[in-house]
Amino acid sequence: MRNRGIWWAIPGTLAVLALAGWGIWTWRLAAVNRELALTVEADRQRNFSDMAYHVEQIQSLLGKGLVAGTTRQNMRFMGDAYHHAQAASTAFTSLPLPAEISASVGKFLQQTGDFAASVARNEAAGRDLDASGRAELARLRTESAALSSQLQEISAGYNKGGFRWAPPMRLSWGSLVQGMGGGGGGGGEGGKPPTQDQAPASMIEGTWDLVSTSLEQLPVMIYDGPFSDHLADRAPAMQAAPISREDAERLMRRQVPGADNARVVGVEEVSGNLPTFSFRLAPAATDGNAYTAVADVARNGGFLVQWLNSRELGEPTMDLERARTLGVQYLASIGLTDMIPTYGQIMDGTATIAYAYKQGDVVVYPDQVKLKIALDNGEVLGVDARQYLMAHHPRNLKAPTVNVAQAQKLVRPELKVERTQLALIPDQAGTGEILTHEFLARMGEEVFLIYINASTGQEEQILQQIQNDGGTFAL
Amino acid sequence: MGKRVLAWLMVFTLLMAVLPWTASAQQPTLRWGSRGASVSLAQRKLSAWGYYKGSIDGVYGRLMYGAVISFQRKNGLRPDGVVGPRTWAALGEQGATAGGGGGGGSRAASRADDRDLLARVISAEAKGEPYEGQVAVGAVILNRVSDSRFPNTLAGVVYQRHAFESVSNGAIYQPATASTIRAARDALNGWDPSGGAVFFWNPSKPVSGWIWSRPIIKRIGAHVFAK
Repeated sequence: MRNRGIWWAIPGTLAVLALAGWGIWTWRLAAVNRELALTVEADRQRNFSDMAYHVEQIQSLLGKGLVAGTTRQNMRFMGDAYHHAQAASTAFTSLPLPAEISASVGKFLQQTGDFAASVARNEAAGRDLDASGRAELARLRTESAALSSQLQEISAGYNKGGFRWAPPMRLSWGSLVQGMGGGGGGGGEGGKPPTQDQAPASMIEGTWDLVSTSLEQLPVMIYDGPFSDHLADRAPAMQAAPISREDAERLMRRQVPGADNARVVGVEEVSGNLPTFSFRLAPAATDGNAYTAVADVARNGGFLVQWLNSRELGEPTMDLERARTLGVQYLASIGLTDMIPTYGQIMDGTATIAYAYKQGDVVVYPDQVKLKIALDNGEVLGVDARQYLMAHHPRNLKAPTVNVAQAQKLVRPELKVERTQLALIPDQAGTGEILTHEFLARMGEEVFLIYINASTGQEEQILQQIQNDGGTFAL
Repeated sequence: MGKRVLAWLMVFTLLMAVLPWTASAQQPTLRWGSRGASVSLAQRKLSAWGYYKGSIDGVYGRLMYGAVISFQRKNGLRPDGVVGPRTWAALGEQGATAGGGGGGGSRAASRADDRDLLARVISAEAKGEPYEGQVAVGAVILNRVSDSRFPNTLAGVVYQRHAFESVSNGAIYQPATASTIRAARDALNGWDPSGGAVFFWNPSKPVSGWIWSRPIIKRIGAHVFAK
């Protein structure tokens, strides 16, 4: 009998100890959880308040911009509005809101900032705001005022305790059941995760939804900034007749390096502003449907749009110069003559080199093809001709009215000019092209590329060249 | 006697429940009889390469054993039928050592940083996908950086709330695989097999209905890519 008691006492004591340990552990865990929830809460609410503040500033600055008497004054307002829009958008994107809301509000903030920046840029270049620009400004002002007042409303709701960004978990039947069912999941989406952060749902139903739908219904914004709506669906400059899939495959085999040793595993038709047939290729010696390379061929004209091959790389046997030459030869073999190598970079056994089209003595930077070349045997492992196909067309280039000597006067004397050439570059807004004199200049160790407009003599663009063991690229 | 065993068992179970433990980030060693997601991963790989002819059921059985043996023979590994670190590496699923060789001086630090972050997201979101799909996931992230509806920086896009499940569940903090580092580099250099997509999702998992309203561009492996 007594023996039995001892046998039970040991495990009994251990069980009590374990339970006590578990209790303390849970209690500590709860404390840490509460602290984390409060930290997250404070962070998000601060970001939300920041956003509301910046939006209020934007609407007031846009309003001032509408009544500003002088251009200089207006430039200042627009510059400030741009910075507030940037800050508002940074704060906003850290809030846990569903994709549909963050997309519409985020887009509004970006475009507002972008528009203000483009107004300021135009004014700096001497182009004042015209009537349609003023109308757009007035419209954005009304919208941001509406957004601002809706944010105040949400803020008031928050202050009354209407919702929390990160409510701490409470013990209830609901939370226990959810914990059991909500396991699983895994994997990842670019959309949104299934359950987490459901708490602010109540508030999303109300005001946020309103904000988002009213912004969704805004008309398309067209101005000369990089986020302007009309840039998203630009048509390619190179037009050609549609071809059949069989013809596309034939042309693909002619253009893709090493296509003779490959078999097509699958083809997908991809639409968009540059519609393609996407061929998936595997080495001929294998079977199964795994593929290691993709070749996109334009459905119009059959040009090679993109080619990407991923194979293991051996020891490098050549330098960047040799790779550059091989690239020129490859481009000529697929009918792209007059391409000259610009910047290049060596990384992990491959060279990535950008080639630009040269028309007469002008380097046309918008017509660009990028190649990825294996340094072990010189094979072309990648082609990206999208920029070239989108931009290339016969151009009627006017002779420069500002000559090199005149343009060079604008380059600061501290810079030692090493090379000059004529270059066509995209403008800051991404909508047009400018003929410039390109100056490769050195200041101490650092190398800069300076672009002076060849018809107005204005400084258009400054790039810094980064040189490292891997080659050069521009910033 | 039976009761005593029961009591000890109880204590043991309690202690096990109390002791917090962490799962290993590495792929576990697989042998005949192993089960689980890593077995499925190895099965997918081997079946894509034509070694494995059975179904992807997450169970290491006879067919799988034969597949592993012939894969090991082909790749100069000891044909023991055990999927250990070296076999995993040959399957392309081993965590790569930091950085990656090549040039890359200190000047290019920011680019190497970007590449590492991008590679880890790709690794967490598209492990086991075809190479094209991995580059496409990287391209979606970079397309977002230059899209007005999303933040303007790589970190802004990656860590945006609700954007990527791998950020919410911590999978992003595991080291990237060799293949995803290559994919991240190609995406950073401008290759975009997604056709300009800014969304991607796995249709076999629960996602919001709204996402299906986006115009779909193409499918690669298990993912749908959309504008």
